[in-house]
Amino acid sequence: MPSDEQVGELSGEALLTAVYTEYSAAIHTYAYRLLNNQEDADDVTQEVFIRAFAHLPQLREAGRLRPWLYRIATNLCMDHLRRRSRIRKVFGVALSLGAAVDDDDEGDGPLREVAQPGGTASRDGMERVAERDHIVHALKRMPPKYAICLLLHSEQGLTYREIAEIVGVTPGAAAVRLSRARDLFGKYYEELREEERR
Amino acid sequence: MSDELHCADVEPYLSAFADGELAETLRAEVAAHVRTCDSCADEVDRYQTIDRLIATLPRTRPSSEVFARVQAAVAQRHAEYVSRERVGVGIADDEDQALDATPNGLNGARRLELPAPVETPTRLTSSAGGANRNTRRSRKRTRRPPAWMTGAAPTIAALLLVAVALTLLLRLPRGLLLGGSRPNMQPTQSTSAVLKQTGVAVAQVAPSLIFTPTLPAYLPNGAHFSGATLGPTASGDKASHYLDVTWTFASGPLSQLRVREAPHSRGFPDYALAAPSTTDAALFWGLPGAAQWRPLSHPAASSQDMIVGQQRAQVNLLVDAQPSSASSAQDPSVITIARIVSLSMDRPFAPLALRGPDNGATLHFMAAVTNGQQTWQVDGYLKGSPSDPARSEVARVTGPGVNLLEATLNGQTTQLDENRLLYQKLSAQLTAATLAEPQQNITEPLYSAAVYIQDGEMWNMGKAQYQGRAVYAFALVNTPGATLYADATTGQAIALVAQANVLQNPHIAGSAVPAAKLVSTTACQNYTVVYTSVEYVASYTFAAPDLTQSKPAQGSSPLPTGFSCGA
Repeated sequence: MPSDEQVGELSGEALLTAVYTEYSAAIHTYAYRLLNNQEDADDVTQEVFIRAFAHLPQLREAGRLRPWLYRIATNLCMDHLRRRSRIRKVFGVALSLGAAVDDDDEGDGPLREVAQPGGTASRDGMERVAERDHIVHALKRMPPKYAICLLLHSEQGLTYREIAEIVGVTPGAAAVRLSRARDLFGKYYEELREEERR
Repeated sequence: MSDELHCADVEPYLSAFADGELAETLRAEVAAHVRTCDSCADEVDRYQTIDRLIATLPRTRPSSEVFARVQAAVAQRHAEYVSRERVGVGIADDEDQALDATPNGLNGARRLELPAPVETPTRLTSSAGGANRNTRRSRKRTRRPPAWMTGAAPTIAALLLVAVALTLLLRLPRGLLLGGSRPNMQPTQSTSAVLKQTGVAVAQVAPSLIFTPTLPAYLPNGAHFSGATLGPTASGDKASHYLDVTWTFASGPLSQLRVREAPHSRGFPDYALAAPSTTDAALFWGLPGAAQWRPLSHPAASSQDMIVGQQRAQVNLLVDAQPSSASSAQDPSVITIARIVSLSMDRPFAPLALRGPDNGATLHFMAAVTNGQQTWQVDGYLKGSPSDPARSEVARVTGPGVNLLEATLNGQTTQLDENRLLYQKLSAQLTAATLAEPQQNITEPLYSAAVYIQDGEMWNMGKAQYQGRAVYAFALVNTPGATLYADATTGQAIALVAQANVLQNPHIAGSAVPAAKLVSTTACQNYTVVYTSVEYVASYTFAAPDLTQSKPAQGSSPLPTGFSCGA
């Protein structure tokens, strides 16, 4: 796997292959989490690498390739969400990930599969699936701008500075947004668990 | 921070502390507090638990054919690049368009000097192209050596390698580059060349028309000019002639695009205005000073076709966009194309890359509040979302019989009735029913202006002034009377303003505001809210009502009868 710096040493198809191999799964996971649809996540992943490759010479620092890819992916995902929102004529409803995926057969796709190998032996597979459902649905309930920050940090491991670059705010604002995102997620997650208990 | 830290002092930093993102000095202070405070320690644990929960979600991977499609697209770009180099077009038009759709680099303020909208249609044929080229040239003329150049020799070397690699990638023969088993890809003409070709053809038939033809200034990528013909017959009476211009597409969301222009007296030949039941606001659009475009129908059209028409004084225009796929749902990209093509016949398509307001900005909103018989005015300032416990809001409500100043600070809402000099505290339940702050769907056009512009839902109307600032004005094409203003220097969207009588506005008419109540010491009214202005201000000092001057009977005001209706 090439590092960001090594990317600059590759060329042609090798460069394309290396960048795609390194980042495609992460970008796809991120897009999938926001869009809850395999085909849409495929489309976004494809478009991210096409655009990135077309404009790679404009990237002034090879080390910033990763946030750049996420920024393209974020904008494309937001486009998808807005288009879904508009085509469903829900102008009057505040946009949330959940509102945008209502028709997607619960939208969970692969997340509905039984827990992957490697989970702790003390937890039942069904419990794990239920917990994942809660996590996914809590994310769905969140306004996209908060879900984006939370996913970028907690799932994708980006720093505050990188998140700030991706969403176009200052690092301080990114920190505030992430803090609110966690509070919101925690609230929704607990609500879902509470609903299940009833 | 002092040694005596309280939970309220460290609370804003706990999230960053949990992530190890605090500067060392602050981190040490917060750590010292967390060690002695169970509540804050629990909060840190909670944040870390949330991270762990989210990290447990399974990873996904793109389908296997995605990489092949990326390779094919890269190869196609190579083919287009070679083709355009050959005809001397230079910068690829679709590359410009992709750049506009691409995030604005890694620095949101990269385009510090926004280009003026290009007024000559022939310079706008590449949609974003004209504007972007201007931007690039401007940057090239004025750019100083970037700071990173002085201390980043290794990075520069790496970049040079990338540039060389990309040059090789684009110039090597396709077979050498990507192997021999690639799809057969025909080089496509640039849209500017297609429009030029179209213009020449239309000019040849124009003498047979009694009106001056209008061509779109925008075409989607991949358009091939198919023909410009007269109807119903070329030999008929000149006054009856209409013009058909058709483009076809080998790939993409469209199979065919047609523009038909007919003398006004002929209506829309073969087409008709869509049934009055078509009320979807998203299918009606228009620019200030131009007639509205509205849906049309055609007996042979499929339900996926997007047809819109516009009636002008001398000529009627229609755009018929036929999708390439037979999907059961209407493709939003087909609607987008129809919208941009049609509106580009009124005014050049000159998108600019804008950015939303900073996260910490204060929202200033003005609204008309009506119960159907009387109207009040709301002038409010808001910082923080409704779910934010630290939200601050001050709103003044004035109108018949009401003169209220309502302030929410630290989660506590107080209300001052300035007519009666009465003061009351509102419960959280009542507060939720009384405040009229704009919801996300209303602020969305401000935060996401770039996407709206890219989709032709906001249209660049050129430079203007907004409260003394040099701005670009963008019309909301589905919302007559609504305008977004963006700072001309920073490219930041700063205000969304609507005429006071805009009632069918899906974005800012307040349709999302739930059944709300205007609660005062004397009234409890059902009302609807119509926002007339939503803008961001750099700073605003939130303060509670000045009770010392008004000398209210604090807490003594009985709630009016029916006050529970506010819940």
